[in-house]
Amino acid sequence: MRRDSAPGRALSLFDVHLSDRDAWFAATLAAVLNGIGMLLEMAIILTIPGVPIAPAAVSASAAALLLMALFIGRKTPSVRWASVIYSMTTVSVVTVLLLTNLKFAEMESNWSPFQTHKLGCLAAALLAPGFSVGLLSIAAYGLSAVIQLLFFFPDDVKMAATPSEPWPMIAFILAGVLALVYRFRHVQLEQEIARTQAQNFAIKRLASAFLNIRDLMNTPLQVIELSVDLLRQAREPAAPALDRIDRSVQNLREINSVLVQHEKEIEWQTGQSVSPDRP
Amino acid sequence: MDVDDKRVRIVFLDDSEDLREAMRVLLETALGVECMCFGSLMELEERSNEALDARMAILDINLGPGVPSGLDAFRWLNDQGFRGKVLFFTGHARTNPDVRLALERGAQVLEKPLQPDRLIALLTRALDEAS
Repeated sequence: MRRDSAPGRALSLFDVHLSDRDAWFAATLAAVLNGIGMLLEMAIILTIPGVPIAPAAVSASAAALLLMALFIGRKTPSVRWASVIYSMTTVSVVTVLLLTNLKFAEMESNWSPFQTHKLGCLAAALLAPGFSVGLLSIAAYGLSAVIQLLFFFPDDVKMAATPSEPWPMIAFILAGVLALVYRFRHVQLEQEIARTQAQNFAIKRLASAFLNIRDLMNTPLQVIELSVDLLRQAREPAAPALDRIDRSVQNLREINSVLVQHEKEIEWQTGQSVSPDRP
Repeated sequence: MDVDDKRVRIVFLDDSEDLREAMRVLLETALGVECMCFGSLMELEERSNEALDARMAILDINLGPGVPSGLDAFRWLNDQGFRGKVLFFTGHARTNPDVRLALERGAQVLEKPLQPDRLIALLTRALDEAS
């Protein structure tokens, strides 16, 4: 999962991204759903004379092409291209629906209005590879139906086939948006948990390193403390004690060089430098 | 405490040769005891007869990578029936669960670095308790 914002700042849902692999998988599922859906649509159309079959056939072919592209690119998935392909799927489906809705309304006596648009709103909430793409997709499915109904359906068809619309359609748009928000909020929480766990792991590693360093430092410090004390009371030549102090100071210098290696990790954790001023 | 008795013996186990030497001088001059210094459990085992006769053992915990620790030495002393007092003298004791276990078995823990006066006072008291 990607991380685009500064550490410690809560992400907006627009900044939440699926992993490249998850986004690719979602776009693939959407294309599969489109392909199968259009085959079913064609089967239905064959039973209803007067409804054109060509748009569904073209959309099914488009789904096949997009699936091939997804298959070829599966080794190098990306959220960006998954979003592009997903958007093409949405455009393909919405176009078919806009071209056939009126005919269905006119020719099928028990037509349930805009069922596929409603399904599209919910599928977008479940499968969109990004939050913005999901919102656009829900808008495309939902608003296209509302606009077509309000401005392009003859009044007699509107009254006969869709008396309660557009309110059910608007309800599905809202449900789709809420489901999309819920899904990406869940992804956001998962990413925050993963980030917190990674930070905790790093902090534990640092704490362990510093405990070890503290252990290493305390022995030479103790040697210096004892040697200075012995020097103060010494009647014998001071050279051995001074040698011990020298060696202990050297040990402390070596430990300091170990600490320097951990500086970058500390900077990553705190977001600011703890390095002393250097020339 | 009978600090004038030269037979009072303390075992000191630490992998730092400098600290061993500084402690030997401190203990022998300030407490008047005989200090047997060891750098590893193996050295301690080689002179087990004299070591087990000591009144007190002061053990570092971390004796270097890949070698038995001071806690192993503590277990070895227990297994050998050591009857003296055991002190751990270590750089970080508070977070080590093995140290907490040793504390429950009657060991005492001193944290490095200690000021010499304080160290002598603590060791004197520990020797008193051990006698």
